[in-house]
Amino acid sequence: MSHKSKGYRVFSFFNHIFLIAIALTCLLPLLHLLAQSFSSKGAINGNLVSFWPVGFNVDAYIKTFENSNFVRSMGISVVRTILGTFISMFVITTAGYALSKDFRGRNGLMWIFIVTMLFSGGLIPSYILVSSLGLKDTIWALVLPGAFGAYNLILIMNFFRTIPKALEEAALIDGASFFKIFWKIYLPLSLPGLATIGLFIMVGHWNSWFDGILYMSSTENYPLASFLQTVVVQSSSQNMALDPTAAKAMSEKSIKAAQIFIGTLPIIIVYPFLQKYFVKGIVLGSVKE
Amino acid sequence: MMKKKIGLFFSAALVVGSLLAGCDNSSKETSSEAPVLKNGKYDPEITLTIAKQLDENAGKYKKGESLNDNVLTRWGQENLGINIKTTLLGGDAGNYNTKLRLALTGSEELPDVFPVYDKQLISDLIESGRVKEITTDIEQYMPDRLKEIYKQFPNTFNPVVKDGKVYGMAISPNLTEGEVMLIRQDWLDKLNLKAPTNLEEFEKVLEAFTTQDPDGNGKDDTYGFTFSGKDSYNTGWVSDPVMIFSAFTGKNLPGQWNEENGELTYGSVAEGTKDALAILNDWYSKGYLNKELATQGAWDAITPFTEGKAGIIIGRPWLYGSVKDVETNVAGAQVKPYATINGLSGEPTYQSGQENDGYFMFNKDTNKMEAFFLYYDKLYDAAFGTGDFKYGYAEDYDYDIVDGEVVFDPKKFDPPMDELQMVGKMSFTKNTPSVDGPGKSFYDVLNGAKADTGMLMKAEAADEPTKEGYAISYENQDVLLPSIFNGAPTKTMESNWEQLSTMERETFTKIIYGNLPLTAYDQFVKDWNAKGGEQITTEVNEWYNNANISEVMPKMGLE
Amino acid sequence: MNQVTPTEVNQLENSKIRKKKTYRTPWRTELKKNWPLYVLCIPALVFVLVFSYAPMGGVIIAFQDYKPWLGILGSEWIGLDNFRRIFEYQESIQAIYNTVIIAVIKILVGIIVPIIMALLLNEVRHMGLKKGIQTLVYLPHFLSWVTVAGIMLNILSLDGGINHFLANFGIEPIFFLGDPDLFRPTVIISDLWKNFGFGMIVYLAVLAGIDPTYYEAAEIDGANRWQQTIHVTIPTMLPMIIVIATLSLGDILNAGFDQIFNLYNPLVYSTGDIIDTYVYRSSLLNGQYGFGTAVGLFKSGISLVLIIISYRLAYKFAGYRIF
Repeated sequence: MSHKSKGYRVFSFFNHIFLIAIALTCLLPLLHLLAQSFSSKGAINGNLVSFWPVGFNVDAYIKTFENSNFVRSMGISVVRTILGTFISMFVITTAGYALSKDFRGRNGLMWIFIVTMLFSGGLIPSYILVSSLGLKDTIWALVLPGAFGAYNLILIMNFFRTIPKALEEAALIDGASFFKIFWKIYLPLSLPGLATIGLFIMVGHWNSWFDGILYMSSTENYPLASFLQTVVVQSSSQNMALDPTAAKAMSEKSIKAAQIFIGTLPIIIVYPFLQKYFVKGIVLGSVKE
Repeated sequence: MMKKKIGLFFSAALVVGSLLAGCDNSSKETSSEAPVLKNGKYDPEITLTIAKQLDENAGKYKKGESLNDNVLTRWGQENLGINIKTTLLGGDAGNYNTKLRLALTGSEELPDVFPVYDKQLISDLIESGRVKEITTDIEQYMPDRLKEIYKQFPNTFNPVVKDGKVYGMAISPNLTEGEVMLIRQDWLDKLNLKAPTNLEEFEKVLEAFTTQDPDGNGKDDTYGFTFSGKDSYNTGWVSDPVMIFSAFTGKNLPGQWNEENGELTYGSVAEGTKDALAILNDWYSKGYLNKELATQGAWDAITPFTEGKAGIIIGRPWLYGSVKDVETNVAGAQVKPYATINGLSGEPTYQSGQENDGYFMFNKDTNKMEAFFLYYDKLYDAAFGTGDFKYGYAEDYDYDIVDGEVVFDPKKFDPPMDELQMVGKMSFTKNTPSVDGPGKSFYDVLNGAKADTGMLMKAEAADEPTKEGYAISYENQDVLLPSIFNGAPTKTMESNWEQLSTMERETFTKIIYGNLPLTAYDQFVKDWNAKGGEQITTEVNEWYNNANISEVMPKMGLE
Repeated sequence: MNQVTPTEVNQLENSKIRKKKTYRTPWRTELKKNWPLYVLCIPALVFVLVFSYAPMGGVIIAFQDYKPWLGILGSEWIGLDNFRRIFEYQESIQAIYNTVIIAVIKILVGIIVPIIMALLLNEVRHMGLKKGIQTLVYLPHFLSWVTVAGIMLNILSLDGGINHFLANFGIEPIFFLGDPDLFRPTVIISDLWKNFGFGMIVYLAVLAGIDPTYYEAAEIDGANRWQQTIHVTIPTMLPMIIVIATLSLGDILNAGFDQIFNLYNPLVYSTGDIIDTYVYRSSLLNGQYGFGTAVGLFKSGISLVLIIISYRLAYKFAGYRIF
């Protein structure tokens, strides 16, 4: 395969430059955060820090890891993310696979799920429900309520649908059972799709902060995102009775930056490992109609 | 067939939903016998449940300590036999209020004592019937020295009194320190100027700071005055422009209600505001002001000052601690506090005063009032400089005794610490009780008082500019005007206040920026009145005339 | 050549679906044959019943003057008053208008740009570079709007990084966040920057699944890269594009509370205030849950209508059933 026409080469050249430039703009804010986390307080407050630390020190990081609340909330986030993603993927993939087939009850079931995407009782009924089920202050309050998402269901269903039926028909002729078809044919082929959605769910769990603050009555139970929320939001609060020590805490932008950065790090690290599922070309094998 | 099934699902859901919502799941604990108070300590130990709005200290505990188990809670257990347990924790202000409201749905029990920071919520709580009436409790259990304090702030009871009954009390009422003007002294010196004392001089200084290159770097990058207009033109703590408004309007501060001859009016539509806007617009166009004043919140607006770009900022005396980085970042920079300028009439300019931060309210069924007052009174030891907390709340936390001397600088502790652990905040309230209003301890120290209590020692240990700032605040405390209307939003306020408030901010900001002509202000006043403002003013005055504090004070033993 | 193109494959399958609908199998045979499919749906059904449908009863709050201590059964019924309030004030109408404009443009741009980016990135042969770029463009998505807004407020300010950069070309400082005419584009572009990685990855996943033999066949037929894109790549992506487009329609009244809340200020209310920020200021802060729920219901109603419309349209014109 050669695409070496002159027009194509010019296009390719500019294409690469353009993409690299865009990619860099996506990287810069993180670099900025990183630089801040290593800079001195005075430099940050004086707006001297852009992409390189000024007044280099690692104090922010030391303080962050010394803070047992930070470390613990990170642990909680890890648990909820893994647990939550597994449960979510299980629930959505099973239903998504079923709905990708055609059968009598399919449409009805589909609408049952779709309606939940649009209508919701709101904050109060959801809170009362979680509270009455006794889930408050447990990890289950973070993992169960959002386990099912109709949006993701539809996406996964469509990923399954893109796999040609001919494969299933061929397997049926060979006498394969229902579950074998699911396990050996559809699952592996839809891996890019599943990995994608799985990643989204993971990110959702990792960044989810409101449920933590809402359902937990102690900071010991906060997931990391909730913890960070309390750290960052303070800087924009209109608390009139702030006293000197509070104001001082607000100036600790380097610690904030460090915390935000570390909070984002795990996802950034996990992501490349999942990438291989999207990038690998999958050869379906030609099927002639 | 399918449709019928869906229909069934829906009706079932509705039924389940409404059942869950209305039912009261809380099981009320029936405590029969009250533990006995022996020598100021409860035996057996009792537990006081509280609510907390999370603050910046939530994350800061020493090793082995946590929200419900730290040096202060342990002290309470050992010395008073009272254990403090947080059962309701909220995030920022909005979230905390939401959580309190959710607790009202009956899905959980309210704590024994909890702070409330929102006036509407106070009103809702009283209406819900879930909070305790504490008129006689105050009379019976509040210690005398606290009664003396509360007597000085009768207006703080306005929001919590209904039908002659008291349902809450202000948290540590105390006139909080006012704002001072922080100016780049080195710039004044370089340009041979004195700190301004009135509007004319102020304008001259602004002009000089903007056009005469006070930092001497040959670049046209400095300007006079930074403040924030994003959320309000009367911020009350930092980056405040209210001084300029008050110069024209006197006591009628924008954004709050003021009283004159028994009548309440809203400051933003008062006489003189238009002139203030005119001059601000003039200054903006000449570049004397922070160009980002509309997009930056109060805290962010201090950055230009810290960067060395702005020459004047107004804020509470402790603001110095947050902007003094400019002295390290910029060679020769020096910041000095001054009193705010005098207005056109020759009278000083006024500022918003604050008397308390929130209210204590109590669970209707609690029987721990005596314990609460005991604990609360002890917390005041730090403010008065007596008892266990004479110097601070805990040794090695917010103070230390090194070689027989009391030390407040954490770096001088033994072993040294990076910063203080503000232990007092681990109690019920976000801020420790204070009787220091506004800035008394600093004023005393500067006038030669001997520093023998924690408060005085801390004042002495502060750096010069901070000390001076507080002293100025104390000397000028008469300019502090708390908003007279501090009740729950009135009926028309509930539906219209948001629109009026938005309209106000938009109009003011656009006039200052020059996007709207000055005449837009007149239109604003007309619109404000027509769209509910007039009605609200009537309602507010009605409230004021009905607030019978004088009748209730004696019932509490406070007259 | 008898190669079947992706478009034709889709249409073939869909017509099969259409044919099947006229004969409905009786329930006994249905369950006997397809019971595994029903069983697979059970977990999702349980979750949905408990966590979505049970609380849905609470929607009644929209018609009440809800007070938490009175509960749903005890609060006063006020019928459509809450809904009337949505249209009463000029500010709320403005907010609705802003919401629709911002959301529509965001959707359009949010569909087109990731497609283009996915196609462009697909042309990068160097695996390492491709992977690197792919990783980087998804990064902004992980940051919260509080963080990103904080950074934006800094660099877009009148004397911030961007304006400094523009000054080099002699351009006057631009008031990105304070000029009502510029606020919407700023919001849309920054949102695009933060989220285009999402769509791009989804499309790349689809592209990764395209059988290379299709391309080979097309090339043998004499098609150049551009023509291959039109005839092979895009048709394969089409179903997914339609799905995502439709789903986005369901989101049409969510113009992005988190983002706007952290970026807006009084100068730009006229063009930037959206339904959610308006509701937040005027009711959620005061605990007026009835009004908030009513607005939520209103938004859901509109979303439902739009989704049904687009489902029908997709069926009619592309022969494709989204769900």
